[in-house]
Amino acid sequence: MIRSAMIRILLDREFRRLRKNPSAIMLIGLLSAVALLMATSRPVSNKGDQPGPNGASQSAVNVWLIYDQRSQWLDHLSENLPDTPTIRIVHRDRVPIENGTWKLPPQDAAVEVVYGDKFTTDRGFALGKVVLIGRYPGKNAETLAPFWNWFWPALSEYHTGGLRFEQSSEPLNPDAAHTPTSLENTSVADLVTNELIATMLLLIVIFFACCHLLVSFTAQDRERGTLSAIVLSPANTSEILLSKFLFHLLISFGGCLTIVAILKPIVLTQPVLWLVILLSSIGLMCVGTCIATLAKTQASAALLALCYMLGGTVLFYLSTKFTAFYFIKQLAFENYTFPLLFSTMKRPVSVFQAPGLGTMFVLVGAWVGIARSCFYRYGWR
Amino acid sequence: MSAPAIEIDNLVVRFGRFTAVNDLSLTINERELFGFLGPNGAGKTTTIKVLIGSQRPTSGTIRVAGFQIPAEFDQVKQQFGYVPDTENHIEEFTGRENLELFARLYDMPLSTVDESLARLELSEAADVVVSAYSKGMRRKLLIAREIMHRPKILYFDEPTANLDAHSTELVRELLRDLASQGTTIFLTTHNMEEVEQICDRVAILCRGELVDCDTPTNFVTRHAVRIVKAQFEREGNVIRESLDLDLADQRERLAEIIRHEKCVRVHSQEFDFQDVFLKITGQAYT
Ligand SMILES: Nc1ncnc2c1ncn2[C@@H]1O[C@H](COP(=O)(O)OP(=O)(O)OP(=O)(O)O)[C@@H](O)[C@H]1O
Ligand SMILES: [Mg+2]
Repeated sequence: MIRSAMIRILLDREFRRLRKNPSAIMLIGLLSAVALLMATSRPVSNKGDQPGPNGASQSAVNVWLIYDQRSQWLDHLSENLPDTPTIRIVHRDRVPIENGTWKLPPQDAAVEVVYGDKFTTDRGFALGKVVLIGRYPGKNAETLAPFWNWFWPALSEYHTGGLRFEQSSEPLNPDAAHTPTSLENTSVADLVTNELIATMLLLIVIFFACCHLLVSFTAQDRERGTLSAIVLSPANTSEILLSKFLFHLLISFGGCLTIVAILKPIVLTQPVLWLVILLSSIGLMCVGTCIATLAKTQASAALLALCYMLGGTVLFYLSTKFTAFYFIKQLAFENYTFPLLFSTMKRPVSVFQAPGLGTMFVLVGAWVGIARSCFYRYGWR
Repeated sequence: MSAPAIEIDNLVVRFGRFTAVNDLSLTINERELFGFLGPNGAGKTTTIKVLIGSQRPTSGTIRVAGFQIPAEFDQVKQQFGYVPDTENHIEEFTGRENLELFARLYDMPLSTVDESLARLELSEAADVVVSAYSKGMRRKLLIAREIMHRPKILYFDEPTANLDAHSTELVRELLRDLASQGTTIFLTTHNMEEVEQICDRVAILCRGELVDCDTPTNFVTRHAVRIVKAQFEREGNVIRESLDLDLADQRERLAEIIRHEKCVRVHSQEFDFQDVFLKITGQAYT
């Protein structure tokens, strides 16, 4: 039984506490300030945006993305082609050839997809490396910058299914004077887009409001015994838990709303954005509830929350290397948060076509069950 | 006597291999002011925590106001108040805000907040944040909070710890008042004077085991040792003797001393509840 009057009283108490500890949400203010600065200041002039030394405007360069084997990520990319540069995704056999070498129109560049040490697990999952060799006309590897600027963000919206991607570049015409080219030559700035930063900011806000803040407040309540005083009052456990969740959800939504409103207000009308924020928030609040109830003290709870975050990051890196971690990652709802948020940031996504939304729903549902029983059993004892 | 308010049957609480409460059985009647005593670490707080449902018993059954604990915790929790041994206020709230929160949770009119604060002489400090309260003020605020919703059963874990003489008297007065108005009070304390003054009945717990349970007066009469100390002078020396009046030969000896010796001082030793407590728990320890 849930009584709205109880929820209101408990929610009011949470907000009062927040008003007396405003520093608790300073991080959200800070991130909003970052967003505001991003939105109002001019971008640093980027090497990639300027014409190359060979005089050709880079946006004019057409890129041929050449593959041997059609795969899902390529399908995904072909559905999301940019206006500039013009990119053609073609099979190797369909590239014009003259004297055994490719004969592309002048100023056109090629990007060759090469599968490296690929292996298949016993469950049929392909794991391995994909190397993209960019072949640029003339001497300047920067010619390909607009392509990479599109490629990496577009790829990251897609679940790479255990594939690891690498980028390398060499001149199309080997006779041309060699300029050293490698990933180091590509500025990080080329890979970072406003959408990417906005997504990262949202992730930080959600993690902070729903996991860190909840763990910290709940563990404090437990350690001080305030929680047991409230449990002994007529408010029941469901009402206490629900009011906590509502409070942190409001902070999370407030923070996300501020950041999206500053950086890309048009996205605010996207239902998928709010659905993903809602699901991730609920999932992280459940994780936080479990941490806060199982930890003995506030200090150990804060450390556990940190371990969860760092452990998760390490897991995500390892998942590209080892099957075990790859499968664990599929069970983490956070796995779907980033690509979903990022794609909504870029363009409208239909609720019914958002990849992973359904899985996320199921995983978060499971977490709700775990957190509930955890809080009921050990919440205040 | 009326119906039992609290019934504890064969309660056992273990923490790992350590037994904190062992086979405790007690019945506390309605309207009774019950003292629960024992040396440090005897298991008093543990027992109260079982009674309020915050500690799961290893075995045994508990009924509070006719409800099983912990199974029917939700039905019974509104009927009791609990003053824990450590304060659990919301530190960043003022005293009044703390009480107001609980008044609203218990659906009591906000006027009870002021009544409660006045009752414990906290009206002046009502708008000061709790983190600035002294230990005694915190304790009083806790009591004010728990009496606000007029519970039928009140658990007090050391209510007068850290209180000055005046506040101690104030709280004792309050406890007596509450009991006379029909509240069942279950209290632990280390203040033996308090026990003699206010408790209807007392149970003594030692190392988790119930040692004895009776009224304070009965305790004193049952365990009192009536000793007379005599001091007399003989050939320039001062001699002291302690004589137990319950033994015939020692009574004879006392008469002899008074009759024949040059007495300097003869006095009986006071024996109060504190001595009983020390005697009982001391025996239980050895
Ligand atoms: N959570 C716990 N884990 C392990 N042992 C515990 C726990 N709680 C209590 N104990 C042990 O149970 C025994 C009884 O503790 P309890 O707090 O009930 O004593 P007490 O009678 O209230 O003492 P005091 O007069 O000092 O308040 C102690 O030896 C204590 O160490
Ligand atoms: Mg104690």
